[in-house]
Amino acid sequence: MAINTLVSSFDHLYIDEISRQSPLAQRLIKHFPQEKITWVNEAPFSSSKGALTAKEFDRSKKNIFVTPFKGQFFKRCPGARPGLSCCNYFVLNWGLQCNMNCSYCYLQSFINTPTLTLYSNLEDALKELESFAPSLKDQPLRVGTGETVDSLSLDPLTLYSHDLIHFFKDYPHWSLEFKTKSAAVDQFLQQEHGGNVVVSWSINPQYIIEREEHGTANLKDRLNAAEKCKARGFRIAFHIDPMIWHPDWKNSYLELVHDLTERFSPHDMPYISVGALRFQPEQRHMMRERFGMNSLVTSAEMFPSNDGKLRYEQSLRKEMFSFLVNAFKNRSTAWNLFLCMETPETWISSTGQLPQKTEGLTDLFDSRLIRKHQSASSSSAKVQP
Amino acid sequence: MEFVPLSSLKKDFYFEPEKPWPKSLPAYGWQNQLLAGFDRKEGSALILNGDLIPLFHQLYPTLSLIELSQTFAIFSKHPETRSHLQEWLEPYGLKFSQRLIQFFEKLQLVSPKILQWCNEKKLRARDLEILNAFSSLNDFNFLIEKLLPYGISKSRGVQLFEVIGELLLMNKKDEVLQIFTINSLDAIEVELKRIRFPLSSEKLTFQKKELANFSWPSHVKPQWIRKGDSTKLKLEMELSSFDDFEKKLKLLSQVNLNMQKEELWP
Ligand code: SF4
Repeated sequence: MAINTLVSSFDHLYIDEISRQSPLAQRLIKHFPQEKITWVNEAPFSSSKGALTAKEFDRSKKNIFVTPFKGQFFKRCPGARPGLSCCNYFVLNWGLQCNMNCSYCYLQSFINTPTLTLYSNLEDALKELESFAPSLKDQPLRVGTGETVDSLSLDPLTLYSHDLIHFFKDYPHWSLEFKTKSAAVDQFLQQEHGGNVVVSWSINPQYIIEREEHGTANLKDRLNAAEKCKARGFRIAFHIDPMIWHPDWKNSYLELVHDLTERFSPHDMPYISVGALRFQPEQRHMMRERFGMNSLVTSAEMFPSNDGKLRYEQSLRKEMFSFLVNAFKNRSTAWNLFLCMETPETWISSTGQLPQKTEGLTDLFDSRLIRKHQSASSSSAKVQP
Repeated sequence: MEFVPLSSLKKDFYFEPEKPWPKSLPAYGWQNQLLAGFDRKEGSALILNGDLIPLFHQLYPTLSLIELSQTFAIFSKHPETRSHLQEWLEPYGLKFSQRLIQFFEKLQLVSPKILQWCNEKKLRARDLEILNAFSSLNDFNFLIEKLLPYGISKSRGVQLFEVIGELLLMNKKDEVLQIFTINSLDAIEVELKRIRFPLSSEKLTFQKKELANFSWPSHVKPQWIRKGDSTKLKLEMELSSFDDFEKKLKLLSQVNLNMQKEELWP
């Protein structure tokens, strides 16, 4: 998306006076027209407190508030809870809220701030990271940036990718993961990197993208962006998540597997993670109010799972995962899939083993493996100087 | 202590309290407003001093959902209270937000019969979130009123309100109306869920039917049940002796193999 289009998709930009001199504020004011900028001493929309209405939530996507983050940047992965099998990594939240609009977005279950907040003090996050170095520099440490904000959709404006990529160059054992549904990669492609940056895409069949992932890049553009990253030597990964049931789901997902496997090989990525639609029960209210009941998500047949989330019936999940695993394996047994945020029962019934025992999974996030993949694939990828 | 005649006080804060004001207590007023004892026709009221909101909390430490909704309608407009809504709501366990305001506005569109039921069952705001999805509650009121005569429990009611609400939002009013020609609450519930969850209902019906095709040992009652996101087989057995137990286990093991062959296990 061109910067102008991105800028015009917002109603207003509010900048905290404290952030005035920050590189982020300085960059944004260059792109936003004067009449859309207001300097403030406190958060805007102060009457919006507590749980948001659907209208307030919609409005929060259209208004940026730049302010420093006051607190600790690094938190553990939300999947690391008892009873859930998941990866173990750190998340860096440099913002809160997303400019895209997926019907199932889990931000709907917990955001109660009336703006899309961008933190102006990324340097503090990097300092925190740096402080881990004395004890962890040679350990595998994985940092993801797409938990409370899309990693890249606003990057043409923030250019935070530059600082992050640059920082990680000095930490070859650590890895940085961008997770996105956008195709915004051009702005960092020329950055020199340390081979430890994973750019990952959440993907779904185009049919689902059109119906449920509003404002995101279409499938072709996401795959094109991934090809560009691969060509520049960035690691890439895909998350087929959330799989969404619809009457023609098998054909849709077969097409997706076809599109992906035609362009990429198992050696291009350490894994593909897979998950099915799930959400916190409270989230259904906001989704219903914002997207009505004609959405495949709001009208889905969801039931409470052991971890309290609403999910498809276990047998349907199993069927969907097995179908997808087979579709990949039919193309090549080298494809490595794992189920993210799934309960151990579904793991076992779809893959036949516990996640810790799935070959290749335990070392998925080991930077040595990333480096192993890196050296294997960089010889085949056309890395441009 | 200042007593004034009731007739001299205004009733701006009259909100139809559910219980009459206790006879042992005087009516209370604040400035020129009556605050408690609205049901009294004559007599006098003791004028209280202090801030209105804390006084109101002392007089009415608990309020039902309907009373809250009624008082909210008054407090949100009255010049003495409209800028103190947050302070007023918090002691009642409610967090002030635009969403809560929207909810109270929706609650005022709910029919008195339904509100009465909600009150009796002590429903809370979060039990009625479905209301926020509607711009008009006419159809919702109409259908839910048909459900109430069945004497539903609180948890079942909350669940069915949501199912019916969602079906309305899915434009299935006519199908829901058809269901209300049935005369049993259990059957109505099954039918409502069949329309709202057609795939899983169909699957469960199929599994139930198939179960009958296996040779179950005598005095063994098999039944598929839905537990959260999974379907489980529940067996009820009557066993008379060690040998009987052994025999039934053998037969059951055979049934299990056959079920596996027929891919009946979820
Ligand atoms: S791209 Fe991600 S964060 Fe943004 S709306 Fe979609 S699910 Fe939410």
